[in-house]
Amino acid sequence: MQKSKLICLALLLIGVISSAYRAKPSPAIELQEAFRAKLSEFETQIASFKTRVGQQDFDQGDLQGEFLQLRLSFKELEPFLSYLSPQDFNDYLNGAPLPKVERNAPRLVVIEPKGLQIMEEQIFASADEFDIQAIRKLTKELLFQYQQVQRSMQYLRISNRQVFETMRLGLIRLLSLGITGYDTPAGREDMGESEASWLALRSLCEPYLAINTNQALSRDITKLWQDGAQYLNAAPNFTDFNRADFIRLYLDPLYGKLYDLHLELGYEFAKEVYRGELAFNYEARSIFGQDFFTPGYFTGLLNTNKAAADLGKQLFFDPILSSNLKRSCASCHRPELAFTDGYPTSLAMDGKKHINRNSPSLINAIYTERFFYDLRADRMESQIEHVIFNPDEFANNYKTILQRLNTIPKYKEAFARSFPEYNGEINRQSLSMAITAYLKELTAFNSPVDRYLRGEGEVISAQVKQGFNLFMGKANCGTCHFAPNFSGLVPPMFEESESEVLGLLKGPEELELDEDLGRYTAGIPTYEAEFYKHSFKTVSVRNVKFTAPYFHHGAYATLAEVIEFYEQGGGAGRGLDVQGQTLSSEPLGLNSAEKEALISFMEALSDTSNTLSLPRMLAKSTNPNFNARKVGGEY
Amino acid sequence: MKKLVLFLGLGAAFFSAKAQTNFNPEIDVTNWEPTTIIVPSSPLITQYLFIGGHHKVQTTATYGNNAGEALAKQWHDFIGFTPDNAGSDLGWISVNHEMVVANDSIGDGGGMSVFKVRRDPATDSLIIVDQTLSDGRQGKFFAVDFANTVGETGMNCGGITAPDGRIWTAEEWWRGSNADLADRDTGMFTIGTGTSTSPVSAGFPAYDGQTIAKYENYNYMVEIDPREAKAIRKQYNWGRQAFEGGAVMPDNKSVYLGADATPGFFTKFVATTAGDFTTGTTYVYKHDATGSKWVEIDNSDLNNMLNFDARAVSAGASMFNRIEWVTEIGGKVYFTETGRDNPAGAWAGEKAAGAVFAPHHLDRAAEQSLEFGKTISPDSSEYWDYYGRVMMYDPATSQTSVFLEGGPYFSVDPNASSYPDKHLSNPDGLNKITINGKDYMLINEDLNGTSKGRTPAGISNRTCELFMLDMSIANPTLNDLVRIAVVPVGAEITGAIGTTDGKTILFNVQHPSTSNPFPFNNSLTVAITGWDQVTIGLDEEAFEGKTFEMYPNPATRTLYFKELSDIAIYNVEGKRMNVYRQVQDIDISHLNPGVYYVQNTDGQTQKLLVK
Repeated sequence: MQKSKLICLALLLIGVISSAYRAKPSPAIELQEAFRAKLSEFETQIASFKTRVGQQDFDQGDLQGEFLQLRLSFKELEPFLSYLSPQDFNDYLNGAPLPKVERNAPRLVVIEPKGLQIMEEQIFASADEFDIQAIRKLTKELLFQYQQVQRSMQYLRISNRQVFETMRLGLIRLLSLGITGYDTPAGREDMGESEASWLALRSLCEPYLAINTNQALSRDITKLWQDGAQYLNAAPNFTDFNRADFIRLYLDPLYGKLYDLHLELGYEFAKEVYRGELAFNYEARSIFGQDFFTPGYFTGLLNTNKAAADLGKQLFFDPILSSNLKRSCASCHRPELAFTDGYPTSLAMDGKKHINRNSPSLINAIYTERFFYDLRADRMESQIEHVIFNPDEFANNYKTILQRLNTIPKYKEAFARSFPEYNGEINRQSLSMAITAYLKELTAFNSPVDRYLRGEGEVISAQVKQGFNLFMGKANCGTCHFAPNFSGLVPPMFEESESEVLGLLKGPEELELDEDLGRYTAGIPTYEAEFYKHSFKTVSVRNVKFTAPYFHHGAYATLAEVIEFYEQGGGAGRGLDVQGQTLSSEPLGLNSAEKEALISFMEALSDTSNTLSLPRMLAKSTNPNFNARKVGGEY
Repeated sequence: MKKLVLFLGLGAAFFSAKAQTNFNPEIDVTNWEPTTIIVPSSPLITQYLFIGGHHKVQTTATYGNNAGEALAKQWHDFIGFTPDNAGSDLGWISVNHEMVVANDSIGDGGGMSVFKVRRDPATDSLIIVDQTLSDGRQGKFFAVDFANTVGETGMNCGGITAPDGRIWTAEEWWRGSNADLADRDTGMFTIGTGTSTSPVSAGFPAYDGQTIAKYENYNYMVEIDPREAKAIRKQYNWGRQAFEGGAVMPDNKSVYLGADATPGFFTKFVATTAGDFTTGTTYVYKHDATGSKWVEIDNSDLNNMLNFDARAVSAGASMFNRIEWVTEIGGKVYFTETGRDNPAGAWAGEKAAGAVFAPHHLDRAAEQSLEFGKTISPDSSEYWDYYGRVMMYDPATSQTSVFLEGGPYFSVDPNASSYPDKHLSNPDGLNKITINGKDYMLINEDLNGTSKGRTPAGISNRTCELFMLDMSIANPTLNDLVRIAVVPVGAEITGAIGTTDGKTILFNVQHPSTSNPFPFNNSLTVAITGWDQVTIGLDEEAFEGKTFEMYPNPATRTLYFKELSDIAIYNVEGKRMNVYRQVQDIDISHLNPGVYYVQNTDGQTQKLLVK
């Protein structure tokens, strides 16, 4: 009797504690209601725009004005729409104005772009290219698809966790796709949309500040929203907007504080809901933090395995992997050149010929969806395999490699220690896992630029800062080399890698197009679409100071030549007939000081600190024929 | 006490109507003994039998290279099962590879791998058997030789397991010209002899000696011999189509076939002699034909077979939106129509040329006309088909009907307070298993997208699902689907088939996320054994007379709740580890043996003891 009373009391107590917590209001409910109301308002706006473009007497200038109003309203919906329905968002509402291949279809079907971005291109087209019929069709399609999306939003219950993810992903989106002009392909000068995005995100945050009892945190966050809004409101124009300051002072600190608020309010996190890994680490407090990406997501190696990484490093520099015992991974990926080799295209096995493409840097190379310039490999393991089997690279096979590794006692021991799950057996998986574990350590996000943007007291020169602002703005670099990796890894989810058609020339001095078909000839049926011809992976510009010469064919010796290429609008900008160039053919209009600033910025975006050391010696084999091996190989 | 609980419960219910549950990050679990629910360990045994890119397959001499071994291709799709009726082993398993890739030893294109299994008498688990084939190949896994027999193969998706265990593989990805081939040989192809540089050994009696373009030698159903790991023949007389699936009926004469295209046609072949599929009559389905609904397409003329779609259109055939797999259960033919979001113009041309929409598409268009307030037809730009469905064809009436509609669609009444947590999207693989005399349909999803409710919104699990459906249920709904919850992140689940003894479900995990830990970063053929020993789904009476509101199925590692609720799982220390919203059942396969606490929307907490 006594005992059961106790239990009752305990039950009651728990009831009280949890109901106190549980009785907290849920701002997500009211935000969801407000979102739904806005959804219907916007439907009316698209409908009236549709009526407008349907009229016989229209003025292009007026249409442009009304279109901009439409976009401003869209920005209020964007945070939730892009978060809740990313696929529809990209397919139908506001995706890149480029064709794509139908997903999961039984044959190759090309889908033309739809949504606000392609509409903007059309509405702001020059008078002779202005096509009202095309605009009418796009508007009709937008209205229909929007209505479908809207309908699918009606049953959704948005949780508080999701609101926090929406806000933080919204900040990443604003940083990489908003203030860079990615979203507004007509090249407009106003910063109004960025301000609208900021205010939309802020309005999602306000109800949480109202219930938060940590006054100091609320005060900080309120001030950041306010000051950031003022900064955007006072922004002179797109060209002169100081992105570096905006990120350092407002956007990035807010990204961190919103995590604090999420934690403070006790809502669940994605890891409690989703069993897979995410590409980015939600717990990171800075977008430029060294812990921002999740190496485990990209490599499949979830835990740190120091023994495996050390072993991988030995193997990386060991020519035991190549048929002639003279070449190692480091032959084409030299640490002092940020793991490139300085050649236009890498030296082949015979020491005379060169293979087809330039050696890419391996620092941060794991942060990609696919490997190679033509994106043909979907994982590091197959990337490594292409090198092992290629007669011009290692010209080898697994059988030989595994036999040789088994003659080296230290390796046998190291494999057994690193991968106990294989009971001492050396196999394909453990070989590639070891090398991948080493590559996982070749990550470096601690350049002066990163430190500056993280607000760590680092000082960067005015020129570097100007370069960053140009890169993320007027020079249009950041719209393909997305921050924070400055590569084609697409924000805000960082799950996909992009490739681009630049209209590359055979060299800076030549007026002839490079003939490499790139992605189109990667051997993947869904890549055999016309628009993938001459399309190449967008690599990171981190550490480009060390990685000359540039592009997949290495035909550009200096960064100045590269910038000149972009300045002139690629091959199409030079008047060549380039099918589907995804780089704008308009000249960038950069003056020489601006070009120099861009170079300064890219050079400052260097961090090779943890990547330079080489093994002192290679482990001995019981077969004396294998013991003349040199660290890193002979050539 | 009871009153108090009731009162609290009422309060919470009232509250949850306008709010969602905030689960405390930690609960105090000391000095407290709530009701304990025990989840016994699962009697099911899971085995990863065949790992793409990892296991080695024995190859024949191909392209001038010697016979040898090679790493198995990836992207497992269809699974065929051939019982070993004469011997003491269980049978042969044939696995399709959907990924098209050049390979010097296996042969270009997709392909198949085969292996043989027996049951461990003690545990019923499967053991892969060592075999020596009559061509001298020895080993466990064998690449099916297509290159030297029928002239390579295409993207191998679905297939057929005939009642006697004969196997056909479907070449799906449509090749429109030689430019579509990444092959090493694009010379003219003569049936029976091959190209000038790559001879073949197998022909087809009715067409031997006829010459076609190389690309026209793809997109067939291809029979293979799983015992010898060799292709037998391309089934030219069933037409050249973007085939995905088919079923041979128990009479061993009639074959029903589906093509994955918009429009996709429903085809029938009837053999003259049972078991001999080289001679017979080929038909296409036309639901509105007067007299027989099956219109013959004369297969004595190879041109009719090469241009099957055009002939079907001329015959005014019924058009479907991407037919996938076909299976026979209880004398009826079931097939998946996976759908395509906005088919629009894809079948407008065929319609104008005389083909007709299958009746359920006209019904759907009529419903959508109400939705849009104007007249919609299946080729209107507005017409949508986001979720697909399972169809049924009754040979007795020659009628097709919707057996189980995908979805549910969110459309007309958005006020549904309890949007179902079970969602069937883009069904693709379809097969059956008979367990202890009871038939179950196996339905595999392959999502065409993640939008429109096909996956939960926001950061979520993008896994496709495998469902079982008890075929004794008269008019099944989505709620009757039982989810089998064992698939790695990012994967498509496909190929599910039951072994003939009803103990094992085999299925493939296709293209999982490459960053999963090994082996879950590769395509896998998985066997789950022990279905004859377990309850599938949940007994009707599970919640009857219980005050507590959750009930586990230990076999499928599913925890069921009496009502739709928000749920939190806490670990033994009372730290929150999972939150689920608006669910009626959850997958708990991630919970290692131990103690957990489960809290619902009403704040009631129960202890869960996982064994």
